Formats: sequence, structure tokens, C-alpha cells
Amino acid sequence: MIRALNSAALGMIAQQTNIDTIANNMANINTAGFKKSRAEFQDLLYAEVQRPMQGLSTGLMVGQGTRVSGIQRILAGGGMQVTGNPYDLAIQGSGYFRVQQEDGSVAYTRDGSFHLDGEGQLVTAQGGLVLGENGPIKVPAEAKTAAVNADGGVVWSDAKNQNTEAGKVSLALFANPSGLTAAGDNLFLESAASGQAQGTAAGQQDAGRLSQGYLEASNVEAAEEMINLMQAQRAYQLNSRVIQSADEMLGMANNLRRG
Amino acid sequence: MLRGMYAAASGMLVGQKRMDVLANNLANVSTTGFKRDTTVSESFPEILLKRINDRSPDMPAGPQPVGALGMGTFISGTATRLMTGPMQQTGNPLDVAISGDGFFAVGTPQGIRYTRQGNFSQDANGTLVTADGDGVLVDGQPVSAAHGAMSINSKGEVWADGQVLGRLTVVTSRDLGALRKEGNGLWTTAGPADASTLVTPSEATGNYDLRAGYLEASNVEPITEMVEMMVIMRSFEANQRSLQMQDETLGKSANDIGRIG
Repeated sequence: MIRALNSAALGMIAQQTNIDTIANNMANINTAGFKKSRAEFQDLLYAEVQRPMQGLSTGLMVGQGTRVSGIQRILAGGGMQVTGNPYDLAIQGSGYFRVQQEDGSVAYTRDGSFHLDGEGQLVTAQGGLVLGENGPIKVPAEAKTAAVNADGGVVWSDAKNQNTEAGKVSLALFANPSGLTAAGDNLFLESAASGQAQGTAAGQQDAGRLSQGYLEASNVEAAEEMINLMQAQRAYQLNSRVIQSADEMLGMANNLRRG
Repeated sequence: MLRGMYAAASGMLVGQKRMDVLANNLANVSTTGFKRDTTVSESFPEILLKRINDRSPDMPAGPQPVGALGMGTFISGTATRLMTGPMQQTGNPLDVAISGDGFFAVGTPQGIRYTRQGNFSQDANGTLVTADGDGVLVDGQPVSAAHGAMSINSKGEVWADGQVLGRLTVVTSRDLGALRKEGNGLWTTAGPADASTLVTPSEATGNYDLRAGYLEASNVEPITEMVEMMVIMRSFEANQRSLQMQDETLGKSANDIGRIG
């Protein structure tokens, strides 16, 4: 009976994590390059309360509830949004932009809403340097227009329409991109689960080509999340009912001896 | 009288155990590939009551049978219901569900285990793994693709870089009772005798079907479980009342019979 209380409590805790995950997905429905997550559940070890009896194959195996086995990031592509901004880039594949952080370490992002900083360097919305094949990419002040090719080349032209390549945006691939550590600010960090980043040019392997003037929208779908939310809430309720019932039964057992 | 008290108490004990099993089912209402457990309760063997005293002169010699008396109930074990759960579309390239009989084979540190949880992913080495990081067996062994993402189609073929790496190993048992739950979504065979019942289901028999981009949801049905919960509650209550009644009757005979005034 105490087991029933514990199992149901674990069920409620797991559903809470589920709701937390759904809430974060919903909150990021408009975040460029955001990838939704889903909570995954597993049953716990089974206790053999009673050994199999003579002539019966199974004993009494009672489970102990459930746990969240992991939160899986779903990497399906989001829709492409036209922005017309020359430095907005979308990746049409599974690559990640490489961004140099303040401490010099490299982070990875799918959010291609870039712009030029005061020195003409290509930076993210938070000001991190976007790395090309040969370090940061700098577009000089005399540039009149700039274009980013599908293969990542950043080309600017001066007043005489002379084209110069300022650098080439490079991408990173991972064996297990779902395992990247989310660091906030749309950035991901390499982790033991993700495997080492493999630098590659856009358009090579599975990295994907770049689209200038587009942003990758969040892959969260409102209807799907609402359904998940309803299911999670009902599952939470069901488990709380079990706790109530188990408690009532314990109360009845307690009241067996009256007076 | 006392026999009745034990029978009622055995009913309450069964109620508690059924509640434990039900709580686990409901806790796993969102667990991918979970199969609900049910309890099997049986009655204790009935005994034949015989009359030894209070004999009338015309009765034949020896004890006379009065009738059968039940001694209460007990749980003989749990049985897992293997019905396929509802199919949920996810569109993920590494999600795969089995409809019908069959289990995915998984290589764990403890040996080969079986699972219905098809929410696979790739780990840091590009190996196809379960949610707990155990290698999924493809043609009998784990597979890796260091470059490029894998995908699985509805024939169970694992693809990477435009090449087929192999087919997911799916097994079933001639005696599904031989497979038992181990927890963490894994199933195991209890002993070598049970392991020998494992077979690879052939496509010809068509007793299973793979769905790529789907997950098999838990086969726990909230309505069934809620009804079960009401039944457990009420039968527990009835047993409790019956116990109390008998206690009162005993109290009367102990305290009130023979009281004067």
C-alpha cells in the first residue's frame, strides 16, 4: 500500500517534469533556431513480492512507479522565415554555426540572426563572434553590399563593384547533436554525449547549405504541445487520485479497531 | 466466527496488493512501450465442513458433511497484458514502434535484453542506442555511423550515408509468459529454458509490423484503471465492514451475554 503511494507520487513528479518541458517548448515558440524537447519515461525495477508458486509461471511482480529517463531534443527542422536581412542565415541541414564566446571557447548555434558589430565583424545577436574557416569574419567599412553564398562564403563589393571574399562561414557536425548541452542564449556546448565537433564547410556532408535572408523558425508546434499538455495534466490527476484512494484505504485499515 | 475474520482480512490484503499494481500502471501511463500488469487472485481451497456433534438418532454413523466453506482469497501472481498500445506519430527518424508481437533486442552490460521502447538515438560515437544508452542490436550487434545521421525505415532497415547498415533485430517468444519485466523498459528471460523459446518472427507469418516515425504509447487505459480502482476500493471497504461486524458480534458474545440487569 505504501508502494502504491510511492508509485503514484513518482508518477506525479515525472508528469511535473513533462509539464516543465512542454512549458519551455511553448515559451520558445518564436525563438529562432529553437529545437523542442520531449520528456521520456521508463518504468522502475520490479519487486518480487511473492515468489512463483508451484505450477504458476509468474510470481507477484510489483513495479515501483516511473522515472524520466531523459529529455530528448527533437532536431526536426523548423520552417524557414523570410526576413530579407543580408546577415540572417538559415542552415538547410544538420550543421551548427560556430560562435566564439568571450572566454575564447567555441559554442554552437542554429540561430543565424547575425549582424555586423562596430568593427565590421560578423556577430550573433548577443555579440559572439561567428567563426569562419580562418577565424572571425570581418567586412570592411568600404563595403557597399555583402552577400553570403550557399557554401558560406561572405562576399562584399566596393563602390567599383569589385567582389572580395571576407571569409567563409564554417559549420560543425556532431555524431549525436541531441546530446549537446544547451547553454541558453540559443547556444549549445560540446559534451561527452554529443561527441567532438567536426568542422566542415557549408554544403559538405550533411551540414547543409546556407540561405541568406532567411531565419530558421522554432520547430515547436502549438497544437502538438497543447495535446501533450492536456495528456500530462490528466496523467497528473490520475496519479493524484491513486494517492487519494490509497490513503482512504489506509484510513479504513486504521479504523478497523474501534472504541 | 474467527474463520470469517481471517477471510475478510485476506480480502483486504489482496486489495492492497491490487492497488500497488494499479498505482504502477497509472504511474506509467506516459511510458513508451509500457505494458499493463494485472493481478490474478484465487480463492484458498475450500474445506468441507463436517458435523461431529449434535447428531440425531436416525443419522448414519460417522461424521456428516455439512457443506464447503471458503477460506478467503490470495493473489497467485501478476500477468502482463501484451496488447499493442496506441501508435503516436512523432516523425523522428530514429523512432520506431512494433505493432503486434515482437521486441527489439538490446545489448546491455548484463547481457541481451528485450524492449518495446523504440525511442532510439545516436550516442557520441554515432552508435544507435536506447534512451538509457544501451546499444540497439542490428543484425545481432550494435551499429555505428560516425558521419551523418541515421534513420530507420518501416522494414527495420537502418540507413546512414545512403547505405543500409542492417536490420533491427526483432525477437518474440513462442511462450510470451517466459519474458518478464526487469524495469527500465527492459524485458528478460528468466532462465535458459525460457531463452530457448525465443524466435525471430518471420515476415511471412506477419505477426508484427514496424512503424517508422512512430512510438508505441503505454497500453494503460485510464478508464479501465479507474474502474478497477473503484472496485478495489469498494471491495476493500466491504471486507473492512465485514471484519468490523464480526468484531462487534464477538464483542457482544464476550461482554453482553450473561450480563445481568
